Amino acid sequence: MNQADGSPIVRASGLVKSYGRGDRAIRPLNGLDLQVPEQELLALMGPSGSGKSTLLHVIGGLDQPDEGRCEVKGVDLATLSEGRLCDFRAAHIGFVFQSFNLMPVLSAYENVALPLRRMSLDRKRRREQVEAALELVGLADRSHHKPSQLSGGQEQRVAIARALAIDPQIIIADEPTGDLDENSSWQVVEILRALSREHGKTIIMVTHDRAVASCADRVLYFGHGKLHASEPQTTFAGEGTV
Amino acid sequence: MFHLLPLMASNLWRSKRRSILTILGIAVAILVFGALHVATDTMTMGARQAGADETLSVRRDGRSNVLASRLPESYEDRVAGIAGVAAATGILAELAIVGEKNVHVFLRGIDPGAYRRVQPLQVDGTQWASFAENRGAAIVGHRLLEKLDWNVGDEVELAEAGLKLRIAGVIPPQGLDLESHVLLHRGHLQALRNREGQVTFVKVATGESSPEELAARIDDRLATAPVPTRTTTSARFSEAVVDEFMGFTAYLRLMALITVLVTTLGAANAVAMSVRERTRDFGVLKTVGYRPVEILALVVGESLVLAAAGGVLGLALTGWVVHSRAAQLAGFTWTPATIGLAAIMALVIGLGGGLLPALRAARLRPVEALRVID
Repeated sequence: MNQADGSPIVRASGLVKSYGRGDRAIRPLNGLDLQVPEQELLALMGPSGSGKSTLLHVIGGLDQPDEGRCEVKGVDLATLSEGRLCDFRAAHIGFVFQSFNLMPVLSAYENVALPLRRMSLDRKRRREQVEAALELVGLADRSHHKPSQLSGGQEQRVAIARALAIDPQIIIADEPTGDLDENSSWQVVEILRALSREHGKTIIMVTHDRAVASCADRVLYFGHGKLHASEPQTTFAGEGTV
Repeated sequence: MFHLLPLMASNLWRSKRRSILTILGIAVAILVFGALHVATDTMTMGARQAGADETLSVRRDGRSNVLASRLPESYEDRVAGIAGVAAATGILAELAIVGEKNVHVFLRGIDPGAYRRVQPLQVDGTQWASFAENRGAAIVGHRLLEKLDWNVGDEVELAEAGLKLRIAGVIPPQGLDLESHVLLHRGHLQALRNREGQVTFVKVATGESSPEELAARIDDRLATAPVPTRTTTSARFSEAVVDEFMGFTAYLRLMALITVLVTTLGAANAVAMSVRERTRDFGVLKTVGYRPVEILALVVGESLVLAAAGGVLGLALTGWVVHSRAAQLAGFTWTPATIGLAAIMALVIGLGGGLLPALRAARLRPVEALRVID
């Protein structure tokens, strides 16, 4: 499917995902529908355990729904083998995590180069892409620093650079400001907003922070295992309990 | 998979102490394996060398312990009379323990007049003549002389064997197991050990017949004799001496394999610990697109790098041990086979140690790995 025609780059319909059995079973996704147009910065909000991360994992091809269909760039992820799913992620989706998840033994440069190493790029091209990504997050001068030598905000910016290195169309960010102070949070939000507006990236971001969410093009709220345009009146953890 | 090399190197560097300890463990295993292989190789060297001279050894059939074989001395004439036999001589083989260090000494009671017609042996003519004339004289292998600090002309006493001998000459280096043996007069040894008229085996120089055919013919001809015989090539005989009398080449080989097995488990544990600690990293790698087979290659590769480093270090240590004075006196030498087998063992340790943890890492679901993080 061609996204240039204005159709959504992410299209999820009827997603169901359950964990556990019997009385302890919870259903964080309960017939969830979602469409994300290209270049949108979408914020997802909801209490802990409401299914935000589960949805990101399904969209990112890291997990599969029990029911429903999830198409990314027109591809039904359920039809891909594990290997092809890896290739799909490597080519089209960048991930940013709350806890940065940088390799502690690698420098900032090497962390950013990680997704590019498995691609058949010559060294010069790889270096250019890594340097461009670090430049974009304002850390070109920290490329040889190890994560332990960087602040939390800088670590998260390296993680964003790693997600950008492959020049993906979609960036999935799971509470990217969750472990950051206010100042660093705003730096990260500014970068994400610029990536969406100036570089045409589609960003799906989970956040607990209303101020961060307010910078998004659209905010959706989790409730009863589904997404709502406005915050539901009563929401609590494990809302999708069967 | 070359793109994994920098990642491999940095992962190994991450837990320097564990990597170094694992390498040292593998090195010790390769040292033990290599040293034991050299020892068994040296012990069976006689068998392989004997194989080259195409002599046969006739011993009593039905004795599991080769050196417990007893044949009447008259069998050397019976054997000599069989068609295809060029020469035959009876040998009484005994073992003595000498000195405070309890050095094991192989004694061979021989007939000086007949022995060299069957067994080619380079010895100084004068020394051999002196030995042949004197019933209480002995010819001693150069390795044994050096080991026991004996000299030609010395009178030595092998108290445990009740033997007093004058060393008339030396068997110089010529690639024979005899270089660590004592040759003495058969009659003298028979009298001292109350084995008059007995030999352990008859050594046969073959004529034009093939050794195997001749061996069969000898046993066939002596099948109805008072003592049935079993004739083998001297190579098989020497092998039997080592395996059955010394009795521990198989044991040594087993020990070597157990060492490798234990080390493999140790290496597997080290790699498994490393994999457990890096669950998060594998989750991230999978998230950014690394395929399971790449994760598998990464972990197995790390294990192989450790094994290769341990293997090289272990072989270096083995070389050092083999070239020490004590090992040289014992006649230890290493061969390409030792190096090749040690390298294979290092590979086995690397693959065996890395495979299970690698499979675990490769099968890890990224969501589970990321959940560990959060």
